Amino acid sequence: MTVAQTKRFSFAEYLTYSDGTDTRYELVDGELVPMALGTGRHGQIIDCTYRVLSQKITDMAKPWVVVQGQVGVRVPRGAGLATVRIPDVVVIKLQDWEFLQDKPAVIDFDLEPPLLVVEVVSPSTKNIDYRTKRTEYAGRDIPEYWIVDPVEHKISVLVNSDGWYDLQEFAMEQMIISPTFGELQISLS
Amino acid sequence: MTITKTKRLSFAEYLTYSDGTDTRYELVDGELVPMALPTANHGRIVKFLERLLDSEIEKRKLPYIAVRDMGVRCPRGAGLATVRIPDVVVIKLQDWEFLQDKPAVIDFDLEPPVLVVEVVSPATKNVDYRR
Repeated sequence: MTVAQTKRFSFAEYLTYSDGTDTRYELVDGELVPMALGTGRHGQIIDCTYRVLSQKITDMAKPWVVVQGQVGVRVPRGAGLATVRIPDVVVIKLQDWEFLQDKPAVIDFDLEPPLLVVEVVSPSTKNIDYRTKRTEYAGRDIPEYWIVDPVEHKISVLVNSDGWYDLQEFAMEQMIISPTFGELQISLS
Repeated sequence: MTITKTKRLSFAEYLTYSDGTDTRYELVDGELVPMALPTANHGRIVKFLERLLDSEIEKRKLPYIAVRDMGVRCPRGAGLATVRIPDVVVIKLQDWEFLQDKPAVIDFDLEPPVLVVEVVSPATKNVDYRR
């Protein structure tokens, strides 16, 4: 077996890294992992989730903001090398969003964890969304993690209790129930 | 709600910490968490499992060893140091030898244990199953 030496990035190096293209990278144990371009449907579901959450936050008059695919979240994993995930949708406090305005948009360990992260599953990220990130987001003490799965046609609402995500599954067109946001519907129409 | 300021220890501070008693502490997000004295039954199960694993390791001629009182540094939370002390840990013999004259904690520079075992007691149920 040939072992390829991979360059490991520190968190600080990751923040300033650019390969000169628009490719976005997550950082996993210090390794850059390019994010595949999502399909149209993938993007459509993200848009819909964003709009539904935006509306809900307005209705609830909360000082929160929902952001699409632009905010990294530093998470603990492995043997302490830097890991940054870029969830499809993130809800954070307005004050944290304002704090990040002129900085790299990554929620480092000095900020509170997001209130909610959402991943929309694609066939290539299925295992990572359901398994790897489930552990990482719970370890970061993120109170809620939703996995929207257009292939299996279901939404998993994961609620953090004592460091472990309890699962509640909903059919895609069903109303979902979230401790933070109450009832809402993520539909494609 | 009163918020008590807790002193946070770094990993290095934890390694040399002693309160002058025999109390063992785990470290969770930099906070010392004293380990409750287990019941005799808990101790019996732990001892049984350690022996069972060691005899199975011997039978299969695996380069491992089952040990108690071994800390394992874990990732969690916002990057503050966390060290758990599982009831039984199975590690590679070479790592065990490497640790002989050092604090018995598997830091991030070593491979993770092959297996960790927790024996639940009513007080640790949530921590064992969830955290």
